[in-house]
Amino acid sequence: MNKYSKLIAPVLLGTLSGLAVNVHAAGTAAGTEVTNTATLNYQINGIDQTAVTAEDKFNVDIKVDFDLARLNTDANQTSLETDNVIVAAFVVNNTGNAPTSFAVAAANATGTTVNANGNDYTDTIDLTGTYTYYVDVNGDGQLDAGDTAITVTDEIPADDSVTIFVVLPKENITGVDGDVAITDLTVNGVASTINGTTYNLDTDDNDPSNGSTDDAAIANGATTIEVVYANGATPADADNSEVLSDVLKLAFPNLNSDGGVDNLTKTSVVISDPINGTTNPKAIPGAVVEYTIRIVNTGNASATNVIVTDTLPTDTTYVADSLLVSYDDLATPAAADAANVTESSGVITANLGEVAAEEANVIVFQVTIN
Amino acid sequence: MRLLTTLLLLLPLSVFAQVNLNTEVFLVAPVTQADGSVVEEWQDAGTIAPGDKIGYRITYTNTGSEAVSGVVINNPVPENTTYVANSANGQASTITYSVDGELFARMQDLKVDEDGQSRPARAQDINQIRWVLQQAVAAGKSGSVEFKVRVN
Repeated sequence: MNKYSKLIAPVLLGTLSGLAVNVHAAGTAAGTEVTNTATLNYQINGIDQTAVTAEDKFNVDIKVDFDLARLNTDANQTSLETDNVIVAAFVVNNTGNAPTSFAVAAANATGTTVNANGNDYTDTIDLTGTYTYYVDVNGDGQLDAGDTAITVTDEIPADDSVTIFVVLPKENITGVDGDVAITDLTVNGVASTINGTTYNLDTDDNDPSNGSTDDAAIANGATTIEVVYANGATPADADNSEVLSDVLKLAFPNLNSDGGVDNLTKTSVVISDPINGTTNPKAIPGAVVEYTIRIVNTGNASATNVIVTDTLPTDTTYVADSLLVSYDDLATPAAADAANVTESSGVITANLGEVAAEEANVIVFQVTIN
Repeated sequence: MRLLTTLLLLLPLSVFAQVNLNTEVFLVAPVTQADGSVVEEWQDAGTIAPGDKIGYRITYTNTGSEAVSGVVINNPVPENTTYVANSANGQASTITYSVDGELFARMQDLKVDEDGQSRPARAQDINQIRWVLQQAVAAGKSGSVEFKVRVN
């Protein structure tokens, strides 16, 4: 070791004077200058000579790489309650090493099937009209008034992402509960700005033979900045394009008794009579009859402000405190809800509030036959 | 006048430097050959992106009239790159490595302290490479050493 101890000083200098460390998951930032410095010490006739050094530099080129992900893992849903409907929502992740702007284009798909969150959705309706693309400015995953309409995003920093909403007026969406509209999205890198110089990206790939006139025209050199398309699963399909399909599902509540489904049912059973008691009771005066009302929402969206009313049959009298309700579809409800489910002057009024999609509420009460 | 001054300033160096040193950078790319085998080729370093493997070749030439001995080449691994294991080469030279720029040893003898534990050094720990030529370089002769890194 001692023999070479004199080398330590220049060596340390070389290390300390190195460029600032620039760590990115996406790799060293485009434009970063990488310098190699070699130092050679030697002797002539056993006498140390002044060390010689050599240096070589290159600049890290622009690596275009990005991916798309659905904002919602499952289908987007709409009840067409708002004027503008999000038909697709997705995140662009810039996994390249340069700030890059992206162009977005949506198109209606016909008949295709998309799996979202383990569910297969097959397109049943076509969307029309002009899409508007909004950048989720505050990053809250919601379409807000402050979100800006774009066709090309600002440059998104390396290792950063942006959420984009694809929006149509609700007039352009026609369908029934359960209909599915699939939207195909295509995203291209547009430009990257490095050290004040903007590099326009090919919309297709980096192949000069396809007539590209932008980045392919950049002189190829170690210290110039070129564009490398690393996008794609394998180098063979490296390009500057990424596609994704997103799902919009129309969801409305359905409490109607149609299509062969009785969404609102009422049944009765004689509980007891004055002669037979509870054994094989008959509907004779003085008998107690129990009514069961069940309402089921067979739609894909919650029904709200659901109110069920029922007028007691003539010649019957309500049995005090017999009114019970189950919000969990129990066949024999066990609890009363005096605030929302009441009897007054022979009329049952059940303020059920919200009945969620594919859920049912059950109300029971008893009367005596006069 | 300024040119002359510059030349005069440079003169002492060029007078005493008997060795010319040069370093070049290449893109090391796997290229599939006609027979299906894949061979690493050292190509022009025009396009280099993160993840690419690059090769450095350091060439020395004895431009003087006397033999040069005790030749030692030191090369820190450039910032933003990571040394590729077993990639340092150099004919008739002893290659040692360092993780701190101070202690140089053969790869298998290098240790790194991590969380109070000592472990064998890995390629990504290497921050400097040293070649010690075993023989003198005769006047007019040249040679080269090389190593590879991956761009972070």
